[in-house]
Amino acid sequence: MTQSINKFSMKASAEPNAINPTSADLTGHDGTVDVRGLTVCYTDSRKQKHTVLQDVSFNVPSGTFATVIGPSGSGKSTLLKILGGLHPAEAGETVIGGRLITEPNPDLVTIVFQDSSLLPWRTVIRNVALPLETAGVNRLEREERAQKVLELVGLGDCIHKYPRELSGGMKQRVAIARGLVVEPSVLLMDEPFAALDEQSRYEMGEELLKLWDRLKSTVIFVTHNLSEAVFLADKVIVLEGRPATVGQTVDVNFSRPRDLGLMVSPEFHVVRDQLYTSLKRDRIRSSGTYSWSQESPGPNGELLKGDR
Amino acid sequence: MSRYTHSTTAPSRTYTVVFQIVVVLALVGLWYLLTTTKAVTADQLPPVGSTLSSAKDILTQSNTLHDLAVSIYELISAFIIATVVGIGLGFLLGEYGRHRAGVKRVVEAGLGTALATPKFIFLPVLVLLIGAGYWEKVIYGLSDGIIIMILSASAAAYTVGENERILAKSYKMSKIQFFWKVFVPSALLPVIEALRISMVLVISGVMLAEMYISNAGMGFLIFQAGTQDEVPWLIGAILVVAALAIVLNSAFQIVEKSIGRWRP
Ligand SMILES: Nc1ncnc2c1ncn2[C@@H]1O[C@H](COP(=O)(O)OP(=O)(O)OP(=O)(O)O)[C@@H](O)[C@H]1O
Ligand SMILES: [Mg+2]
Repeated sequence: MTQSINKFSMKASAEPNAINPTSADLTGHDGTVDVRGLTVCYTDSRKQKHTVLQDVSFNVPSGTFATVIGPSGSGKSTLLKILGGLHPAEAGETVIGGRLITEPNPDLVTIVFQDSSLLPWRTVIRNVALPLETAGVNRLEREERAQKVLELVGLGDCIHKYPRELSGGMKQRVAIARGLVVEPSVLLMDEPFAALDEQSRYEMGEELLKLWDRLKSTVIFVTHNLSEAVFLADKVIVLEGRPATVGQTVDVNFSRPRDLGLMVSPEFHVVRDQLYTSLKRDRIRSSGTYSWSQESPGPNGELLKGDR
Repeated sequence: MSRYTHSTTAPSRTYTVVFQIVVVLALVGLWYLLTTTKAVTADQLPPVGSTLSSAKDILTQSNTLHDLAVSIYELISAFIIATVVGIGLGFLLGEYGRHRAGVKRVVEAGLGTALATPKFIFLPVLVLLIGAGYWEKVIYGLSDGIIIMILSASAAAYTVGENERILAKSYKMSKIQFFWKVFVPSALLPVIEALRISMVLVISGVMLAEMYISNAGMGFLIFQAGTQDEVPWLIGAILVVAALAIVLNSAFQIVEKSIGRWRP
């Protein structure tokens, strides 16, 4: 859509003082994500503090597709919540497009949640238009924009359906459309295809890449599937240990556009196996804290969750 | 609504309506048979014809119409109070209970006990305390309905999902936006279902109060006809009240159906 206009306001938002999300000139942003020394704790029901993320730092340049990988419970969703301004950090800071993140910035960063979390009483188009509605965009404009994004994700025919009438994959497309409708600089995706079958998962991944190619926003995509992580990413961020920290970041330089054929190439396997080895080392270090269901990567390098 | 299937397609609705009509016709047929074959005496169950004509009299004569008007007036007052106050308190309880589960449990247990206690036995005490006028009947009539409303609204509020709350937060929804765009639509259906049950309870409550502490209203009419052995009047009045309840119940079901289109 219109990410190219963004270059316009990049200079303004690069100033640390540009933390004023009210004016319209902030619609297009630089999508650089800078995370420094992030430590995150949860307090459980017995008022005990648990550190989930410890001293996490990484940098994702604007327009990059980054994937975050790590075992179940390592704090991937938590990391996205921090980036989305939904949870306070114990220490460290997150700066996105020059803005210090202390609260949600729905015009700058949007989240596609682990389950599609569509509102079941709203039709597809009204679900997608919800962020615009909340921001006070008038009805005509928001429906027009929602319609456009829905066509982009291939759902132009289903705009008046209710979520119950959609398949899992279609629901996720709606959720992605809802994430894109405000034209965010950064799109956070929390295992958006985890509920889909193997085949659909990779096909959706391929489609997502095409979409991203047009939008050029920064994407931070959480997954626990190694192949998916490598196939999609410019950069893979690996969360390891408990509490988790960034074990390594791996740059993935396969040329774009990519198609699913890449996944059977030897180079692809080299990168994936390298990641797998590192994750396995981590598992041995934390001695059984995590349970991989396989000793060696399966045909798809799936790191299965214990309960799936 | 449908007793057979959860599907919302037109045929199943038609079947349900047909089924309901068949049940009513069968009961009337049985009634007709029992009275014409003299299986029961006219004192026990009057013939269909004379009962229906009493029901018609109730709906046309001015003194009985007055009774009907009194009842409807009390019903509406009791129902509105039970609804507004019940939903308000219930939502507050449900939201508060998200942070104080213990308080919510205790309050709900108390309300459950109150609901299980036959309030009928307190009616004489109520009359002694506050008298036997219009408002006493209303208060007595709404007592069960309001408890049901509080409990259901609280449950509905409590079940507004964590995901939806996080979603709302991520869009920086204001409290008012959250209330209208997420909370109300999410809680609406269970609350409307509860309204229907509450209405049935309010009708019984008002009728009971009228029978024992009043000199007007359909409950009073039924009571009087009963004590004076005016069996056709008795059954006729019961028919009128039952018809009122059925009509209101169906109206609620239609509303539920049309609002719940999005339901799986
Ligand atoms: N709201 C919360 N309160 C307390 N603890 C929490 C909360 N949310 C998450 N946790 C804990 O934080 C840790 C990380 O959870 P998180 O959901 O971020 O993991 P994840 O990597 O996304 O796992 P998965 O792959 O299963 O989605 C877990 O141990 C979890 O129990
Ligand atoms: Mg998660």
